[in-house]
Amino acid sequence: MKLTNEQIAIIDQTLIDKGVVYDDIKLELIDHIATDIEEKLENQEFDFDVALSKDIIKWEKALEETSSLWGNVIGPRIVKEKFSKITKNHYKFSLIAVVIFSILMTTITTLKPEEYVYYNLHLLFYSVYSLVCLINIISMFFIWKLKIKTICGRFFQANVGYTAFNLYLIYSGLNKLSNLYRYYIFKNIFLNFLEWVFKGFFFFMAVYLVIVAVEHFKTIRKYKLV
Amino acid sequence: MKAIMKNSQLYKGSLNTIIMKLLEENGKMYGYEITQKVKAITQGELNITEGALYPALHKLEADGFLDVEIEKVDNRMRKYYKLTESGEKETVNRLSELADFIRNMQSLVNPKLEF
Repeated sequence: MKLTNEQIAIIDQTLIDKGVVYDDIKLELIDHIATDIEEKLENQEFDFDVALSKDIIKWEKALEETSSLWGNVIGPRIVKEKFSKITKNHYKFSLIAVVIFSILMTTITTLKPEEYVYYNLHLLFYSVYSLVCLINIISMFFIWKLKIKTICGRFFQANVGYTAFNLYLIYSGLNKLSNLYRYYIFKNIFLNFLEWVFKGFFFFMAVYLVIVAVEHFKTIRKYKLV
Repeated sequence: MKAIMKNSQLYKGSLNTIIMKLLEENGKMYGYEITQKVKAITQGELNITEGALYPALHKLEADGFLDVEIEKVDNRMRKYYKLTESGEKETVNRLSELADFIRNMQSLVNPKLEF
């Protein structure tokens, strides 16, 4: 016996009440629960309400409320596990990217310690950084406008606030651009490396947000959520 | 009545391999279908819980071993999982590892038997 749209809506609301508000996760849970209930109704074991309440008990562990220390996300285990995966990938990506980036930049500026190299390298860096921040701001607008909740969208919204700080870094960096070389020549190689680590950390955080935003829009298209 | 060995640690390590083997045989499957298939093949002895199945599927998907397809079925959307190319290769590796494990365990617990 097929469930009606109203019964599907009840399952949907039950999951939302349990904290499963993200469409990409909710979609398959609705189908699983609905298929299970349909089978029970087919065998005339229970009516819809009883079948639903019995079914939800089976999901107790997956829907148990937990909190994520890293991303401050409080919600069911099934949501937290996916969120934690994105957070872990973020740190893995940032760590590898920042180390490679800082070594590369320190090497270039050490091997070619000339003012024009230093100036142009920073100019290029801040231009790309600005572009990444602009993409983040545009993505933020579309994520807000579409109002579709995915786990990637949640991660993006939880971290997009750093864009304000990124813009400040770009602004102050560009302002000091002509004087940067003067500070640089008094620094040793280690301090030079640390400076690139600091800049790279926030830059790659912004880059990862672009990746997450793309993943959010890809999920919407793939899952036909629009 | 046969026991449901849903919490057995022995099965937990093989869950991903079980899922990949089923997908290798059946092409594409959805979550509920996987649980029912396992129940049917093992005549109800093995019951994959929802709390274990979906994190395993999501991990395999994130690792690039599974791809997903969304289809409208009746009045709702259904998420199908299928093996990617790297998933197919990984399935062969994992099945071979599992076969070695079973053979070694068999030798250890029943050394007289020969294969």
